[in-house]
Amino acid sequence: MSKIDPADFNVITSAFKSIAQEMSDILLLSAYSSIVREAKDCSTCVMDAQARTVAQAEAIPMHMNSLAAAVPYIRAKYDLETVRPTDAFITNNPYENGQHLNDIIFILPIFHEGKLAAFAGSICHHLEVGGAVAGSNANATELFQEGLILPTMRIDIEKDLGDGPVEQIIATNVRLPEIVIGDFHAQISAVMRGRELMQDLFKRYGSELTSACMAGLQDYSEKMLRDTISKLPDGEYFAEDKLDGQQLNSPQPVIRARVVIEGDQAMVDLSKSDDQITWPVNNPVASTHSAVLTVFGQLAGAGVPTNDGIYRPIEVKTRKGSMLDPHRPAPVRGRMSASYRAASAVKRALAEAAPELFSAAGADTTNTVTMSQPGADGYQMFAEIIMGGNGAGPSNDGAEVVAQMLSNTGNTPTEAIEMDQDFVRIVEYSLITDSGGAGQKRGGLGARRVYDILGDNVLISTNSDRHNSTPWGLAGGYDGTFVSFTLIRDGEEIRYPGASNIQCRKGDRFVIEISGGGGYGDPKLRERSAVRDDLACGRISERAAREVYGLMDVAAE
Amino acid sequence: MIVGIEVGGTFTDLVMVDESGQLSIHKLPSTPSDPSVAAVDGLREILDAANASGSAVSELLHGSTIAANALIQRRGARTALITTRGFRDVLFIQRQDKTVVYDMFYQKAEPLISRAAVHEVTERVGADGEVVTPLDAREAEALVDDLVGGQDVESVAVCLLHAYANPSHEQAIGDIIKRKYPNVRVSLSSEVAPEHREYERTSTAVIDAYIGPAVEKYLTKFGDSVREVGFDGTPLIMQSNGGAVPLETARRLTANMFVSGPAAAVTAASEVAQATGISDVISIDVGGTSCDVCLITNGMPQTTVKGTAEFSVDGLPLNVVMTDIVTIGAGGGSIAHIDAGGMLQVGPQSAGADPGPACYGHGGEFFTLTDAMLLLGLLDPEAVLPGGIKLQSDLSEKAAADLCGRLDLEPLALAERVYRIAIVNMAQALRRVSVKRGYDPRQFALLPCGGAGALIAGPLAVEMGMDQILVPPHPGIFSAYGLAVADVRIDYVRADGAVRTDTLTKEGFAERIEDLRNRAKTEFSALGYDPDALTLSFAVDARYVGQGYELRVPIDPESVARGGVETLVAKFHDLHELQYNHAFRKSRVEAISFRLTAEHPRPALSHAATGAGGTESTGSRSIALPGLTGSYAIYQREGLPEGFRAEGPAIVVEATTSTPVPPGWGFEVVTNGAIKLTRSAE
Repeated sequence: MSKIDPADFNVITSAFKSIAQEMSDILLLSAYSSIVREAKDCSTCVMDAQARTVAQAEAIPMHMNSLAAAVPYIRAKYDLETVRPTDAFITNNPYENGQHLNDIIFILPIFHEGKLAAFAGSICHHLEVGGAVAGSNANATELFQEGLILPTMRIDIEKDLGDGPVEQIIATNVRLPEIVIGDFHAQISAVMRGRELMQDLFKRYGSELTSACMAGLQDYSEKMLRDTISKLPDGEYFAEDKLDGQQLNSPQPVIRARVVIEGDQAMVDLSKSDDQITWPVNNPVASTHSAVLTVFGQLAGAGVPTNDGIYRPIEVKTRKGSMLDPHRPAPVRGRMSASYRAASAVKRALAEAAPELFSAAGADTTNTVTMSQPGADGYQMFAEIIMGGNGAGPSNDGAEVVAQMLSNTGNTPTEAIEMDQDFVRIVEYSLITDSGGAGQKRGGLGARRVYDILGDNVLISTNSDRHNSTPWGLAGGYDGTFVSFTLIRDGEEIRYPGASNIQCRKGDRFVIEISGGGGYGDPKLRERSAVRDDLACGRISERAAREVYGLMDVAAE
Repeated sequence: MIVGIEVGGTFTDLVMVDESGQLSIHKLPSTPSDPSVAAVDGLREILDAANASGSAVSELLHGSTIAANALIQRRGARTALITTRGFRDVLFIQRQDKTVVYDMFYQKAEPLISRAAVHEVTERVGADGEVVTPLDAREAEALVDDLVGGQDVESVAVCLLHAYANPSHEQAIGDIIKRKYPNVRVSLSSEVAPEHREYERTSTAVIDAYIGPAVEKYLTKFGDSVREVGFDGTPLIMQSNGGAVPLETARRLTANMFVSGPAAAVTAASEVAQATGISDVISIDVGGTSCDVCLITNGMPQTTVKGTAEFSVDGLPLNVVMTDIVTIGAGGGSIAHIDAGGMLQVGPQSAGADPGPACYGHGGEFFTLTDAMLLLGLLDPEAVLPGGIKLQSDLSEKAAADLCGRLDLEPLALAERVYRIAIVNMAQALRRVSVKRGYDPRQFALLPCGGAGALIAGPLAVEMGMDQILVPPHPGIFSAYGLAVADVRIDYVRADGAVRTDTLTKEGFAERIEDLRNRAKTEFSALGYDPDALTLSFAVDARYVGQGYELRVPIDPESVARGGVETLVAKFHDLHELQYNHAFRKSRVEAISFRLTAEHPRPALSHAATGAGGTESTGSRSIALPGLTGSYAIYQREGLPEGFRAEGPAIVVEATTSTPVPPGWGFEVVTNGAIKLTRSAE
C-alpha cells in the first residue's frame, strides 16, 4: 500500500480506538459483579490478522498486550486458516500466556470476504473461579488449588455456550454461577459488538486500506514510544524491590532489575530476580511483560494508543524458574504483588537516572479483600480493592488514595456493599494522617478501612503487599508507610500478612491500612503555606510539621 | 407576549414572541461580573424596539450560566459539610479511579471545600433505613454553633450514610440549623439527591450548598430588576432537565441550573421536530469550540443515568436529572494540526472567539474548521458576519501553508481533509448518544443548530447513514428560542432502598407511584398551576440483582395496574436486550429508584416562514464537499415561503449560517419556517 491519505488515516484509526472503547463500555455496563463494574478489571481490544494489538480500551494497564500474548498458544494448537466464523478462542491458563485463573480471555476471529482479517477480544477478571476456598486461596501451593483451569481452546459459540458444555463446566465449577456467567456473557457481548463494528469498517474501506491503517497506527505508537525512550540518558541502571515474605517478617523475595537505555531502545533484564516461590505470588511471564510495559506507558503519558507498536522498542528478559517466569504449576493468584514489585523496580532504576521525569513510588500494591458467607441459597460474596496514595512528582503532591500504576480500579460505595450484603458494616473509610512520604512535594495519603463483621462463618481472604516494605521516596523525599491488616477480636489485635484466609465471627472488626506514596525532594524546602495547610487539614501531624518539615511556629498555632 | 432571555458566556440572546406569533430576536454582549445587567438591558432594548412596556410581557423565561460560573471559578459560599463519623474523607477519596490511566502525575478533580471544612457527627443508619446509632443531637448542635458562630459558615451541606433510606438524622440537623440560624443555607443530601452511592450524593449536596447562596442572590436580583422594567408576573427559570420552574422554586433547586443553556437548545429541537411531525431526532449544536449532541425519542430528550452518561460538572459528580448531552471539542474554531506521532488532527484545541479563525483577520494564525469551510466554498466570501467580520480567504491560505508543506497538499485538498476529520469527530459523538445506547441513528433525523451546525449537517448525515435533516428557524439563537417553548417541569425521585420485583406487589408499586403523584400535584398546586393539567411520566431505575448500574425503564402505571409488576419486569428485560444485546429473563430484577417527571405544558409556538422575498435561486457557487462536490444553487432563506421545495445541490443562506443541500438531496420549507432536507431514493 502506498502512502495513506492523512484524512483516511485519522478517520480509520480513530474508528479502531472507538470500537475498542465501545466494547469496553458494553462490558462494564452489562457486567454483574462489582469487581468488573466498579473496579473496571477488564480490557477489550482489536487486533490485526497477525493478532498484533491495534487498539485497546484504556482500562487496566496490567492487561496491556495480554490478549495478543495469548495468541501464539492459539496458533500453536490450531491452524488459523481453518478457523470458521462461529469459532472463538478461550483460555485462562497462566502457563499459556494467560494472567491468573480469574482472568478469562475470549477472542473472536473476524472475517472479511471469506478471509481472516482481524481479531477482537476481551479479558475479564471473574469474581470466583472455584478452587479450594471462596476468593483467593492464600495457602495454595500449586495452580490446581486456585480454581478451574481453562486451557487454550477453540470453541463453537453456537454449540458450546448457553446449554453447551463449556458454559456448563464453568457454571458448575464456580461458587457464584449466576454472577460469573453474567460477567462472561457481558464479555462475549462486548466482543461480538467489536466484531460487528470491525466488519462494517472492512466493508466500508476495503481490506487493503483498513489493514494498512492497522499497521500505521502501530507504527505511530512505536514512534511515540521511541521518542519517549530517547529522552532518557543512555546507560545501564539497576534497582531492586522486595516482596513480602509468606509470613510477616519472614524472608522477602527480591526482584532485581537491570535496565539498559540505548538511543530509542530499552532492554529490561529481570533474570537475576529470585527463584519461584511456594505461595501464590509468582508472576506468569505474560504479567511480567505487562508490568514492564506499563512503566514505559506511564512515562509516555496519555495520548499514545495502546498497541503492539509500544512493545517493539522494549526487550524484556526473564529467567524460567524465577518468580517472574515460573514453571508450571506454581501458584499465581496473587501475581499483582509481584507485578507491582517488578514495575516498581524498573521504574526506580529509571527514576534514579532521570528523576525529573518520574514520580516517587506510590503504594504500588493491589489490596484485595474478599468476604464471603455460605448460606442456604448459595454464597454471599463481594470483593473490593483498596488503594493507597500516589508518589509525589517534581511539581505535584501525590494524589491521595488512588488507583495505582498497573490498574484503574474504583472502590465500591459503602452504601452499595451494605445494600447487597448483610454480614458486614463498614464503619470507617478515611485518609491516614502522616502516611504520605514527606518531601518538598508530599506523597499522597493512604487509606484506612474498617469492617465490622455482623454474622458468623464469614471468610475474609486477602491479597496484598507492602506489609514489610515501604514506597520509596525520590530526590530526597521520604518513604511512604507500610500496609497493615489487623483483626480485632475480643479486644485483642492480631496482625495478618498480605495473603491470608481469615475465618471471622460476629463481633470481629477488621482494620486495613494502606500505604501513602513516597515524597519528592527535601521536606524542609516545602512551601510553608503548603505545610500549614496540610496541618490545618490534618494531613500531617503537628509533630511531623515541626520535626520533619521544620515548621518553627507550630506550637503557636 | 413571551420573552426568553438566555445568558451565555459571550452573548446574551433574547427572543420575543407577540400575540400574533411574530418572532423577534436580539443579541448583546454578556456582562460576566453581573450577568443580570445584560439580561435586563436586553429586555429593555427588545421592548423598546417593539414599542412595548414590561407589563405587556405575559411570560418571561430566563436561562443563565450563573451556577456554572460560581462553581468553575470556585467563587461559591463558605461551605461546611457534616457527615457520618468515620466518613470524613468521602469527597477526597472519591471513587479511587483515574480519568486518565497513563499519567504518573495524575491529579483528582479538586473538591469545592477543604478537608478542614468537613465535620463528623456520631450517628449511623443501616442500609434498610434502621437506626444503628442514634444521632447525638447535642454534639450536632455544638458543631453547628461552632461552624456558624465560630467559623462564619454561610452554607451547610449534610450527607449521612443511607440517608436516602431514612432521612431523619439529616432532617434533625437541618432543623437545628434552620431554628438557630435561619440565614444559613442548608442542603440535605436526602432532599437534593436521595439515591444510594455516598460519593455522588455528597458531591451533589456540597455543590448545591456551595453555589446555592450565589444563585439565590442572583435570582433575587434578577426578579427585582425585571419588576422595575414593569414585568409583574413570576419569571420562569430554565433548568438542566430542559424544563423551567418558577423563580421561587429555582431558588430551592440551585443544583438544577448547570446546563440550562444547552438543555434549552435541546428543548427547542424537540419542539421544532414535533411541530413538523418528526418525533425521533438527534440534535447537534455546533459552536466555536465544541458541539453538544443529544438524542430525542418520541419527543423526549434523553436524561442522564449513572453509568451510561457523564453527569459531572468540572469533574465533580452531580446526581440530578439533566438533559443527557454529550459534548466534544469540535467546533468552527477547532484547530488543524499534526500531532507528535505525525497524524493530522482537528481540535480539541480551538481558536475560540478571540482571535478566532485565521479568516476573521483578528490575528488568528491557525488553520481552523471555519477556514476549511471558507476555502471549500461553504461560507460566502462576500458576507459580513455579526460584529462586522469580513472573511478573508487569503488569510486562511496563509494559515494553511505550514500544514500544506508538511503533508504535500494544496490548500483546498487540506481543507477537504480537515472538514472530513471534523465530521468524523462529530459522528463519534452521535454514535455515543445512539449506537452505544442501542439506537440505530439511521432511524433518526439530524437537527443541527448553533452557528456551524447547518454547515456540517449534510455530510454528517451522509456519514451516519441518516436520510433526514431538519434545520430549525433561528439556529443561531436556539437556546433562547428553547426558553420560549419550554414546559414547566419538575423531576421527582423516590429511592428508599432496593426492592426485588418478586417481592414488590401491585399495591406496593401503586403506593410509590401515588406518593410521587401527590408530591407533584401538591407542589404544582402551590405554584398556582392546575394539577389536573399535568403531564406525568413515570420511570423505574431497575437492574438484575447484584448488577451495579441501573437502566431507566419508562412505565405507564396503568399497565402495571392491569398486568401486574411482571409488566415492569418484561419491559426491563427488553430494554436490557436493546442496550446490551442480551437479557437474563430468568434472573431476578430489583427496582432501585422510582421517578416522576411532571410537566405543565406551555403552548407551542406557531410562526410562519416569512416568505417575503423571491424564491428564485440568486446564483450558484462551487462547493468542494468531500465526495459531494458540485455547483450549488444559492437560495436566500428569508425569501422562501412554507411549502417551497427544490433539489440539491443547493445552498440555503441566511444571516448567521448556511445550509448546503448535497447532490441527491432535496429540501422543503415546512412548519414554522424550518427547512427539511431529505435524501432522495438511491
